[in-house]
Amino acid sequence: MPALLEIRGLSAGLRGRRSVTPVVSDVDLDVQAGEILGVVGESGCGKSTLAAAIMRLLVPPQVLQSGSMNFRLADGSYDLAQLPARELRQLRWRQLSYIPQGSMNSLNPVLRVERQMTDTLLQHGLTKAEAHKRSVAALELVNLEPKILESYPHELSGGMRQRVIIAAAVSMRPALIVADELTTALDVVTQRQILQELAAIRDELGATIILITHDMGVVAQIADRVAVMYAGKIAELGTVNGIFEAPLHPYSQGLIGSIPRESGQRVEGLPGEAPSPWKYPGGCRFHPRCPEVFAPCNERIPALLPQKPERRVACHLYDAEVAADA
Amino acid sequence: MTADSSSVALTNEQQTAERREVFQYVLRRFGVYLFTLWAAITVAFFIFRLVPGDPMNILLGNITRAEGRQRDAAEQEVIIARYRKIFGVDDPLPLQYVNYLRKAILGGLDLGPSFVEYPAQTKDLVFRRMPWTIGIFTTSVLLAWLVGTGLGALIGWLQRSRLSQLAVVISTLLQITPVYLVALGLIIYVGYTWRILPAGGPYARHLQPEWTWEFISSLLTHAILPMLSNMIVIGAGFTLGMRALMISVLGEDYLTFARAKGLSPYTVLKDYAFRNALIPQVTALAIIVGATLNGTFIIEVLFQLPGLGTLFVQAMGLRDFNTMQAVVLFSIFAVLTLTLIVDLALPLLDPRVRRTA
Amino acid sequence: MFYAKRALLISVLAVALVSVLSLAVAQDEEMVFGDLPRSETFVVASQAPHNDVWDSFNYYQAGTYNNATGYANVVHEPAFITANGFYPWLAQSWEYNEDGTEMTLVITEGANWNDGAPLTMDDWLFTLQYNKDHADKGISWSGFLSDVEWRAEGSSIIFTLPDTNWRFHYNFGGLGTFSPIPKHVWEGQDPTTFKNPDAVHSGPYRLVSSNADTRTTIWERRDDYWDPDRLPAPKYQVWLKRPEADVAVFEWEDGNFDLGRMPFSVMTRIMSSNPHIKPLVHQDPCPRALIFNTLNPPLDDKLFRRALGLLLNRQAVANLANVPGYVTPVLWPNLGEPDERYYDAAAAEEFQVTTFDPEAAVALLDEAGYPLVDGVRVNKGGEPISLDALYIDIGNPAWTVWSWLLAEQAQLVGIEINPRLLDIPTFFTQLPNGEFDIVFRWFCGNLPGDPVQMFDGLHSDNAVPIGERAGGVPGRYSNPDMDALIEQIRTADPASEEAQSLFRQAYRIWAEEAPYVTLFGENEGVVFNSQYWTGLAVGQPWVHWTPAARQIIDFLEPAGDM
Repeated sequence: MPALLEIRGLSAGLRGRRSVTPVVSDVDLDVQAGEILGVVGESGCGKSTLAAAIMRLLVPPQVLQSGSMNFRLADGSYDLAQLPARELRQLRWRQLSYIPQGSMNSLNPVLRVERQMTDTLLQHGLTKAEAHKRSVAALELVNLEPKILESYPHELSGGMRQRVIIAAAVSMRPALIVADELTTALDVVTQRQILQELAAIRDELGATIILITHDMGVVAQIADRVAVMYAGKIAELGTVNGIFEAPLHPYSQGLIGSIPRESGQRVEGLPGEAPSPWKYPGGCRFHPRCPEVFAPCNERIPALLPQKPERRVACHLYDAEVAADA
Repeated sequence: MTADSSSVALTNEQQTAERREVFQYVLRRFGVYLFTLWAAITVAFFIFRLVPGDPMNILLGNITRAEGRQRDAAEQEVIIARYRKIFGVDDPLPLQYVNYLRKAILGGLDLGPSFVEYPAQTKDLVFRRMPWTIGIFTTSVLLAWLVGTGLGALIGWLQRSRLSQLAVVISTLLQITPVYLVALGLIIYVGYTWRILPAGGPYARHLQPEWTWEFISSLLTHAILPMLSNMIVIGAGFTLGMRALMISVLGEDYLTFARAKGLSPYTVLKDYAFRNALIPQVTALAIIVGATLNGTFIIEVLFQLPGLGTLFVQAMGLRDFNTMQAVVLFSIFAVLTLTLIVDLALPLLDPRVRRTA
Repeated sequence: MFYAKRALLISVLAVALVSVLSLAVAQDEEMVFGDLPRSETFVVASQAPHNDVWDSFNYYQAGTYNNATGYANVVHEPAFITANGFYPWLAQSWEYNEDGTEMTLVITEGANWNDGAPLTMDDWLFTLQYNKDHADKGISWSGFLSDVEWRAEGSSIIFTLPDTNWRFHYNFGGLGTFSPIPKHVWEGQDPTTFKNPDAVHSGPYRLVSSNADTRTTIWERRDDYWDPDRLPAPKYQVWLKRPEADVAVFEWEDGNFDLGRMPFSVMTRIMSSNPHIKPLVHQDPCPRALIFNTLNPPLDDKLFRRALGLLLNRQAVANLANVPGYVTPVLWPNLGEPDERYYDAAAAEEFQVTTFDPEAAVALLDEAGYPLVDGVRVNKGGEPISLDALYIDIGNPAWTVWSWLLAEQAQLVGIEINPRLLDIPTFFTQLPNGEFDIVFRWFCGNLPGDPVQMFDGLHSDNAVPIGERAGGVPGRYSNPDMDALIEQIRTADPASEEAQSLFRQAYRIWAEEAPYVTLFGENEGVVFNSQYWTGLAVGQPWVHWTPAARQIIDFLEPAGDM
């Protein structure tokens, strides 16, 4: 079955005076219909740029350099990277929704919730009554009362605002939802509630969700598959269970090792810091921090190769050819 | 508010409390307004009396000039005593102050007679001149605000286009140009060199105010250049201000979200960017009104408009306390009232103020 | 193709525009101020004072009056016009009885008001009584009537005076002077509030309109003026307050004004761009002087005062300030050539009146006991001398130059003088209160007005303590000899040899004591546009801010073909 979203060779960066600094480099990624795909990585690894690139929300100096993003729908296939602005607008919200990073501030403080939920619906051709009905229904999905439509954002708590955004994002029953750092600013209890609601929505609407987060714990809770990103590239891709049970990439191993367990204490984290896009190292971008670094790592860029069933890893350790050379 | 969604519903009790809060806010703002007005009047009263120079001496100077002879000291005393009494400056200063306030408040704005147009009452004088100032100044500031806000929003929205960057350079240049130069430039080139528009006076000199097309068209054509002088300088300021506000709003999360929602650029501009940038811009309007009043005075003098500005300049030359005070009083009244209106209207534009107030 | 079409369209429009414009130009008469023919309209652009009254034509309120409307100049007529002599106007002549206790004034018969009513003896008698009755209100021309009785006899009014007074007739002359008012307009009105809204008086014009918004008054000549021989040429006169000088320049360059004041600094520019513009340079009727505060040592010393008088180079002031015309030395407390009858040439010579002579000044200072110690003159107490010299800010370069020249010369002889520029209200407050050392100001000796004013201001009545308002010359000068002379002059007939001898004695005291020293008679420039009107020339008594304007507009003639 073909993927709902097929990303090939996607590169995005920051346009400087003379050159473009790569932030996301040559990413290949398939998103299957109906799944929740977690994209996880440390801050600055390019996962938000990836989300913005998928949503075509890059603003200067961010630029999309190359690649294709085939979005397959019942009525045809669209390359999100090439789609004209007008058609893109048609697609947005109806098929492609976004729950932005820092969504505490994503509601316009001077407009009532109802206006912000319905303006999109109205632009997509719904009548006022329909738009209202849809909004109420969407709020129900996230356990909010219709009364909330009358409120201004500042009258709501953080969790409620997050829910409103989710409700707004799903109100058109889109095929794909990109959720960027959904739960960052929320307390643990609210986090859990919202994640459960999101999972329920997926089940109910059959939506596909790309969940961008730095928190392995979140991924573990609801994702089906997970893509581990490091320095603008995908390091490892696989099912949640598979990766959590047996991470192959040394970076994945480090990440999983740093999840807080029940007791709350942190097991050791990764040494060193994630590089900024201006200082991406040559060869394998992880090699300066890698505990298992060996000869080819600082010279050759590892390819994302299938290893086990449903698992791909970009690491020379698992590349027989490279190992043979070494 | 708690995270519990059921608490969104406001109980009756909460609504009453909220209404009381709003009432208290209005009351408090009004109190501050009255206090500021009083303080301004008081400062104006004493400051003008501390400026060296006695209006009576100017009066005597005029008499000497008109009659071509010096009156002897006894005769001078008669005149001075008489006018001192008329103008209420023969009492000790504190008593003058009390009398002034008493007459102003209880006497139906009796601000005493004027020197400038003796024996006209200062109040009548100000009321007669005020329409000019309000007409020229207020209209041009409002127009400048509208144009500047629109233009600023546009060049902020299109911040990366070359045209918009050129507009920023031009606005900056215009904004730092003294209004005097702009006015004089318009007078010289538009008024006299090219003779496109009249460059002086409120209307053609032979006309009298009446509802005829000739008068009204004369009034309008005479108003263009003074209003333009004001608009160019103030409008440039508003443009730059609005552009900065716009650019800062463009970086907000809710704008990204609005675009992600697939809204048309027009809706995003109108409901998300412009509307939010507008709130501080409205406050700026009230501030600008106070700050640019003096520029308008210069414009009135240069364009020979019979507004409060020319009145103040004349009154200053005569040390006509009553008139100076009245002009200041009405200016302050206008600025404070505008600020009050903006303060009270802000909650309508910005729901956040309703709570934090 | 498209551009060709547009070019065609533009040229058609241009042709249409040009034809409309040329039609407008081709009109045989240029109209101004609505429908007034430019060639019949005389436009006066007055630099009015700050008083801004445009709906009141009441000359009793001299202190708050606005003379930019032209009312006082072309409508309000006096009994005698007294610029450069005594000219009969609404009155013909005067005569005293043998002891100076009665004066007979012969009024002009056949005059009328500009509303058509005749100007009769009734109006004269009404005015005299009206002025006397309202004397306590500080209005003009009322004080001189107290204790005076009068009666009418034919076309004469006979005044009975309380004491001998040979100078009573001067109350009917002078720059601003007694004038009858129409009884049917003023009866029952208060002189301090009545506005005389129709501007009724006896002049050859009547009010068309006066507008406070545009600061413009329009007058139309009347056909029924009582003296057809003195009917002015302009059919219309427009008096307006001129714009700020920066803007008024353009009006002058365009020839929109005919007569008015402009700063010297811009006059050259106007004349170079409009050849019709000519300066009418005349001498200001009030010469300039330095007044010394005789209470402040060492200014209480007449030798010191005279020494200061010798330090000012009057011609240098004119040269530096670039004032057109010339600077006249002022040899007596009046303008112009001294009248030998009232003047002591020997005293002027002896005390070096109006002379620039720093060496003589040094000799005087040494003689008077102000020695030079370490390059600095010290006073009698041995302290260095330092004086403030006040002057007024009216934008006149000559008035700034004199103070710096004086300070420079004084420094050369070892005296410190600090010029201080004051704004008008401050100046007029410090001056009468005596809060100064030296002050630069003008004085109006007022010939052919009452000559008694030459010295009257020096009477010790004016020597009130500093801080109190002084009349006359505010220098606190006091001299019993001068007082005695002034008191005799006041009652003497100025025309008598006896009085003239008193004047000469007073002059000698003035020259020797130097309570103030005269500087120069200053030229003043008025701009005249000869494109539409001619006839005004230097030398005429044309001071247009006084009623003498009534006299000078009779000189105007149409410029004819242009």
